[in-house]
Amino acid sequence: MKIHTFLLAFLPLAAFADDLDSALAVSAPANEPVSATFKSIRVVQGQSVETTHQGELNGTISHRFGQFSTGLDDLWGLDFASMRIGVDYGFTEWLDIGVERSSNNGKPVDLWGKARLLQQTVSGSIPLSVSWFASGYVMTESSEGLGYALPFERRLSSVNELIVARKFNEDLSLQVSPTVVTRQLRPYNGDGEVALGVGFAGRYKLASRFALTAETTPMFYGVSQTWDPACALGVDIETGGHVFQLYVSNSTYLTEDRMYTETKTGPHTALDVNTLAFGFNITRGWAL
Amino acid sequence: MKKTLFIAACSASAVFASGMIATNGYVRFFSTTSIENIEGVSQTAVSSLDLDAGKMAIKARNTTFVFPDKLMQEHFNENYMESDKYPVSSFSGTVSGMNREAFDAGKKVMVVIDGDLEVHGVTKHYHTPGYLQKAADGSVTGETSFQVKIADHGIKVPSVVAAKLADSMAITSRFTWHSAEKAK
Repeated sequence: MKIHTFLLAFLPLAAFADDLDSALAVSAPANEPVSATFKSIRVVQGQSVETTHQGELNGTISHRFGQFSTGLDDLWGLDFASMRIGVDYGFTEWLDIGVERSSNNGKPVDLWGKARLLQQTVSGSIPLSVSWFASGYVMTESSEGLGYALPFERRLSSVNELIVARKFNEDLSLQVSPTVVTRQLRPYNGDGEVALGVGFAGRYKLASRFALTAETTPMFYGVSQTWDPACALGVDIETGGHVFQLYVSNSTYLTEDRMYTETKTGPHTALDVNTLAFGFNITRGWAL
Repeated sequence: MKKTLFIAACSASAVFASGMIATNGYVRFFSTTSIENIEGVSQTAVSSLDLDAGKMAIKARNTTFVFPDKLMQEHFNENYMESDKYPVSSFSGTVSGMNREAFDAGKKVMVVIDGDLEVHGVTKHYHTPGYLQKAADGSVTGETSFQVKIADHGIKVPSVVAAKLADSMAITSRFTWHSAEKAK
């Protein structure tokens, strides 16, 4: 009897606490999007599922040095650098458009768009994020060491990727991206106009502003046996508005079209350290 | 036994009636330095207020703070508040020193708010003045503002951004509580 009275006296308090908790649950939107699946629009050098936020301009400077095998004479590749510089702007939370210019063969300029088709939610009501990346490239040099002028239509290439990603927890994000590459200029007869592949990439956060990243894009159709899959292993270092991405890669190209389809690891095995090259990206966002 | 239950039920509803709830609470924090102003606002904080018992509680989801700069909002959740680990900031404490007569007459009265603020998994005691005012419809509006030091709550600021972020944030909050039955 006494126990009952005692317990009942607590009832109103318990009910009140429940009210606050239920009110709080109501204020949390069921469709709250997962943030920061990746910290940059690129995982390493390939595209991530992320787009630049609405109203923000994002600038990226990428460098890829020469292969380590050049040794002391060329400071293990640091004497040679391919460079890519570009900006992109978030027109909406789901549409990001960018333009870039690269110094690798043919000095291509590319215009690209990335659209978010699905956004993973915290509640799990949408388990995956999906973005579609489309890019068109045109070489600005009319002859890629050919001795004659290359007509405009031979200088075009394109990349389309359907990027499917999931942030599994605070630390781990993975993505898979079926990829279609078209090239008008191709090095070998075995290289087709259309090449197909699948990209795999991931991020693992080791500390608050430091993460390990990795990516590879094996092509399974339309690429001659000369070529190897492009692979890269890197770290993301974040400092306020900047993200620094430092990495090693087996590719000498910075643009997606040639990086995926024309990476050559060298005469040795794919894991030969001498054929790897050091590279970095620096990104900076500005709210406009 | 039945009698006890009846009495208990009555007392329960009596206590319940004195509790009030606010669901669209405004909480803003503001950091100002010579380089940059940083501001985040949540409009969906919830609060309970029981003036008879002199108790107040507030909860706000960290992800509901909206920033003009979305990149900052991402950094706020990902790097500073670590909202995955600590999704909610909360306050629980007492309200005292109220001039009940003036309050019942509808005047804006000053009160002393005393309690524990939990942010980023770290609880710290705060003591701050606030204001309460009762409206004709019985609802109560309150506001308070106080300073919170980032370092007090175990939030690390990298040295490269230290100059852009003030050591202490001005927290301003405004709530309108309705009786718990009405709020439903």
